[in-house]
Amino acid sequence: MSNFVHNLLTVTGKQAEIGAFIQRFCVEQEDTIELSYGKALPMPRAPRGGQVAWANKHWGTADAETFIVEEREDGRLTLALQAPTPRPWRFTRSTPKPFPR
Amino acid sequence: MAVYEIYSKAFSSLTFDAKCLDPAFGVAYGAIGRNGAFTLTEPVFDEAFEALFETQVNAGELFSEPAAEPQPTPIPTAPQGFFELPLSPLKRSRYRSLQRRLADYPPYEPPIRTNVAYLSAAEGRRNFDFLMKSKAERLDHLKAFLAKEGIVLELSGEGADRSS
Repeated sequence: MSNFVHNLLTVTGKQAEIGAFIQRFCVEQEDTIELSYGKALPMPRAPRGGQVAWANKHWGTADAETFIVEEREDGRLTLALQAPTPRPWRFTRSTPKPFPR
Repeated sequence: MAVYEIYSKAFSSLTFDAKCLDPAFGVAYGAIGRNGAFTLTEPVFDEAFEALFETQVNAGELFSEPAAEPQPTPIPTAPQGFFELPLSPLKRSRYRSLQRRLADYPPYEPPIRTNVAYLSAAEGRRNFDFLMKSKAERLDHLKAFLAKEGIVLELSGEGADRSS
């Protein structure tokens, strides 16, 4: 999928620490574990500029906030995410400014 | 990246290895989080990465050198006399002042100068490499420019704490 951004996050260290990391920053479902940006940087109830703008600024994406666990073994946790290529917000907003008419 | 820094600070004993590839825009970066800090690195897209995302050519394209030396795209310049349009004395004075201050400030000139949306993966890679190589030099130029204005630019310590 050429219009997707591929993200891979590998966490290595002591198993107990990885467990604590999962507990603090992940959401455990029935058979999956998702890494939630919201648990690290919660979105305000009514963010200034709207939810999309806030998510783009603080999470780097507004279309997906979770990583899905791809692999989990002793001392190693691999999380993968495919998010749609974000629109270049800054570019699209700033371009018309020099040409107001 | 801000989120990754939070992870790294919260669990400084863990190592976080992040890789990001955007094939549409030919953008790739890697980052290593260790001891509470996150630093940008050269990403390594191995077979496991390609198999995971069912992508084959993108990583290779990013790091292959272009066959021919591409010619830089000329930047459109304002027509002669553009700034000679009637300006109020105050605006004219401010413009001249800004012109004098920026006279010694070198422009940033990447190898391929065009809209990033039209760059190929290899071209994007060349521009990215140039950016990473010239980052320290550009910061020096910025520091020197700000110093002339009586502003001290600090990227660590008290200055960084004040801006964060």
